[in-house]
Amino acid sequence: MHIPDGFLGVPMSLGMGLIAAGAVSFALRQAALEQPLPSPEDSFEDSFQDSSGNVSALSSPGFSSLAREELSIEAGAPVAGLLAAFVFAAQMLNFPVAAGTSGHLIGAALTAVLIGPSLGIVCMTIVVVLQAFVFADGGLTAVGANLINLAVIPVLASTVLFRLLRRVTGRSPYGVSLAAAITATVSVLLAATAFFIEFSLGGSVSLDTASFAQSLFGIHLLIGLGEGAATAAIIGTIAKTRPDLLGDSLSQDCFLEDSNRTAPPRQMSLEAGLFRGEKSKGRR
Amino acid sequence: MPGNTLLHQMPAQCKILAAILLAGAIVTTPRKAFWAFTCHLILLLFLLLAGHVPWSHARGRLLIDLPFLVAASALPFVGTGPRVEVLGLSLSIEGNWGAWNIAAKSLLGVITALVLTATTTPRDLITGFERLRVPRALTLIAHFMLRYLDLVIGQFSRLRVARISRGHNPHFFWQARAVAVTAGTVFVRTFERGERLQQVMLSRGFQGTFPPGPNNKSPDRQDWTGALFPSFCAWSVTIIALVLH
Repeated sequence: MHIPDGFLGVPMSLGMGLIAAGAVSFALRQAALEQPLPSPEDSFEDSFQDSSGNVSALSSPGFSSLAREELSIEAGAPVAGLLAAFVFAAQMLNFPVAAGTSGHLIGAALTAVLIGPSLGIVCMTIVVVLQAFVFADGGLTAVGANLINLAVIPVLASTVLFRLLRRVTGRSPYGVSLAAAITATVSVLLAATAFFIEFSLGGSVSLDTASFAQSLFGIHLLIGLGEGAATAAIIGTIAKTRPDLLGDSLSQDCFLEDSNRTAPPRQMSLEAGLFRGEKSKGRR
Repeated sequence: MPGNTLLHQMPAQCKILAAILLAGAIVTTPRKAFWAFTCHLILLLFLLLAGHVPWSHARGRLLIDLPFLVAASALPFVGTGPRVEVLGLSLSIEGNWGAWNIAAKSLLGVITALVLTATTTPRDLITGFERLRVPRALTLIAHFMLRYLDLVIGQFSRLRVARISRGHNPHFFWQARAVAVTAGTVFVRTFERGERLQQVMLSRGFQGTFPPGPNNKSPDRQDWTGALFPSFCAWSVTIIALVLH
């Protein structure tokens, strides 16, 4: 999936690099504005006041004078970093496609559904860039095109498509899984389409368009179906164990029913429970 | 890879910039300039030697390029334009050039990235990006990602062992469900770990910066010249090739 050096011509690589830089910086700004992660100041002050009755040392001026917009994404970095680590590790996980062959998860649809478009793009960006620089997977000059194909387009398209499909399939765990499956399959095909357009316009070699498209989309339809099945199963598991992580994707009644049934994992330790007080309201 | 060569000691931001420039020179080389590709290859082999990159390490990383070499080998058959008969096969001339172009450039590109990563620890790499003014939010998230990547991979592999020891046979499509359920479980655990980590870091006064790694001297003129010299050589070769072809 990752484009290596030499597939795209120089103008296309440069252009894609510029577009990707713009898109990612826009996503970064959006992620900071949206505050998709639980706001740390709120939960801290609330939980400390709730638990001990008086304001603790942490809410002294020195702590709360940190600018809110500065805190929002940078204090959320641990959660975002672990999500990126999950996507990275999941990409190493090979799914059996047929006897002998296997495909691996891309994760764009998964991140879009779970953490929203802007933070999803940020996480996928880090994964794609580090794969190029640390694991030599994807060319250094093709990073821009890879970002567009694997981070920006699939995440944005998945967000829109998932929100539309959710209305059709309903908000039960199965409906959400089905919507996620279709979304993931389409997102892979869209990534392949983006590559097809880039290669046709600025590739380093001219090809017979029909046969190229046929082989490209044939392979990616298989990859996409695998991605869809994997994403659906992951989302289904999350809907059953931690429905609150899916936020408003699930309807409220199955949220209550399921969270009652699987209460234990939410109280993992006393410390973790302490901070959980008001937070699930603001969490997506 | 650990080591103490000149390449290892160079500040990471110099190496990142040099690697990107070097990859740019490789990609810009006109495809018919065989001698230029040979020059690039000699330069990269010299860098591999200078960085004491072990062959066993390099071989594993070079395998990443294999699928693209396979894909490139299909190009002569689907290429357009005039065709040529080779050993009874009808090959497109344009496709042949395209295949050579992609094979050569992707291989040289992988070696470039290999030299960079074999002589730079991931932590130094991220510090280097930080110094190159990549937004701090990105580098911070990347820091956390690399710190916890091993742990998440470890969870995946432990669960894999657990699945297999309970009769899972990951060769058929209908068994993919178990793999995916595992992934869902790991996601929930990872997210919860992230939440806990966030609270813990904040309660200990984390303000969004990490102390820099041990290899963090700020580069002087000599470092920049040293790091950019190979890229300069590669660009000279490329420019000569561009003028000649």
